[in-house]
Amino acid sequence: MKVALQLDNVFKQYKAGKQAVNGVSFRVAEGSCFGLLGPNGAGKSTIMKLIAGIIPLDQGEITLLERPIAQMRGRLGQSVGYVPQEITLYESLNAWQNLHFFGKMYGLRGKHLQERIALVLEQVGLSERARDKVGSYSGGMKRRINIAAALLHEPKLVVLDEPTVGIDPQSRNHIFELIRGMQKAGITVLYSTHYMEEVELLCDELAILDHGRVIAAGELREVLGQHMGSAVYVEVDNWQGPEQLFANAKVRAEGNGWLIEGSSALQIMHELTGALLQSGHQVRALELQQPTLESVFIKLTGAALRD
Amino acid sequence: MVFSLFAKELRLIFQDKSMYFWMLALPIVFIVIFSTIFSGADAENGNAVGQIVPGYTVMFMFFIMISIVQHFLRDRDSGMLARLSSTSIRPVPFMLGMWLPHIVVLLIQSAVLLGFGRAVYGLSLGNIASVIMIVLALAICATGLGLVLAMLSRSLNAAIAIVQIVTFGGAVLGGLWFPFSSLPEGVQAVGQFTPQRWALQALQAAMLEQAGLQAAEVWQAVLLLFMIGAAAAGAAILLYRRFAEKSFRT
Repeated sequence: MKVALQLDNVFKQYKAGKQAVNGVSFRVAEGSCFGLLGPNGAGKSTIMKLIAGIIPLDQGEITLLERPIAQMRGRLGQSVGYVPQEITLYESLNAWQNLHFFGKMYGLRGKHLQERIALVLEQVGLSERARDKVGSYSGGMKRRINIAAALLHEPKLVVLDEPTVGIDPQSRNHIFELIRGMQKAGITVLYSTHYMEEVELLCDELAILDHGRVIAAGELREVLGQHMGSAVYVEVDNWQGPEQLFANAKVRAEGNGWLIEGSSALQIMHELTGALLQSGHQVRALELQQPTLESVFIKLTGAALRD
Repeated sequence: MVFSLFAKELRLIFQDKSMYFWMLALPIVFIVIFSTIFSGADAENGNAVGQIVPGYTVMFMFFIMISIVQHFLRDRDSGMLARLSSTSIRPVPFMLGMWLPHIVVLLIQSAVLLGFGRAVYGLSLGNIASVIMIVLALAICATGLGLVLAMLSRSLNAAIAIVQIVTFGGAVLGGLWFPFSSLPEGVQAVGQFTPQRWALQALQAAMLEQAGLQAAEVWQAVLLLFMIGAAAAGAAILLYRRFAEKSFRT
């Protein structure tokens, strides 16, 4: 695996005293999509700004394509395409003018710039609306142009900070296709979101952050396996409950039945069906519950509100 | 990159219709009203228009500070500044790209207002080279102060209040509304420290007395205004990082 991006023990504290990033380390394979998950204030956006060179880190090292970004200075912008959470476009300019401006900021010129603008407009499906003012666009169209502006200079790494907030499913799907296209072209993608299903759908690996720390990381299956055991849901007529059967499993009432969580679903099923057959109870429902990223996320970060 | 920022910023300024009101329509209305009121009363003092047209031109040039603050705060608060920091642009070219269009706007504004005085009231423009240099120096001064204000402002409303103090306070103290010699001695003493006073004095010398660049009233004012503008722009560059950090925080 060739590593495109590597964070080693990265720390960042804002002047107000908040420790935004607290010893974060992870690696992202070249051409992969890496998901960053975390509640509000977990440090996702700060990490993205550190990687994009917008803010300096206090301690640790960030390496992009085997080069420390601290040594890249002005050249970092040539390798990274940063898409902020906010829609950072000039609404009174049209899409073409906005892209032309950003292209110039990335150092593109002349015919090459014109060609790149035409290409990214096509990629985000807005060639027909290129001469319309961005202010007249829907939220989804603005999001797509927001992304297009970061692709103009053909970056090696694209950093997307919650790019699908508040948009329609069509635009969201278009953005997903765009990200898959980036991966096919060998571009590495760092993707931050609150939507678990987006990470499940797009990302090869992920990290869950909380309070500036990585609390889980790896491939989706690994993270699910490490932090969530198997669970079986059962509904039985006139039954006291399975508590006495499972001394080593977690049992809780849920809906009209019980949810039994343990290390092995097979073992739970085996013991449960044996006991029910012996007692002659009527089983109304028996389901194997697959762990989800959302259940892992809530388990790791808690259910308390993070406003 | 500076030119691209310059072109974008100039386009945004010209798209803002309120700018035409504040920078052109309102000063022309003021010039017409006050020229009408004072044209008879000033007969014994010479040329009322020679006081009013350059006076109001100088005064309204300082309103550009609002636009500068507005544009910087817009870019900071929208996250644009953070995004641009991820590109190849560096702070000094960024500041230049934001600054220069506002100087161009002031050059256009002063050309229109002085041209209006010439066309409608037959105001003599006197020594054109001196007038151009004074206007350029004043434009650099007013926009430089605007840059510093932008770097220090927390909100547009607070900045507007400060611009009004600078503009109207400077107008009263600098003798833009009434001939400087008619002001009380105490006001005159304070007024000597305002850029408005120096600008008007130099403009009147160049326009009404044909004073060239070698005239002390002209070159001293030009030098002073340039220096204020350059010092203010330098201070703004030093304050930029602190200003931008507010955009970088999440």
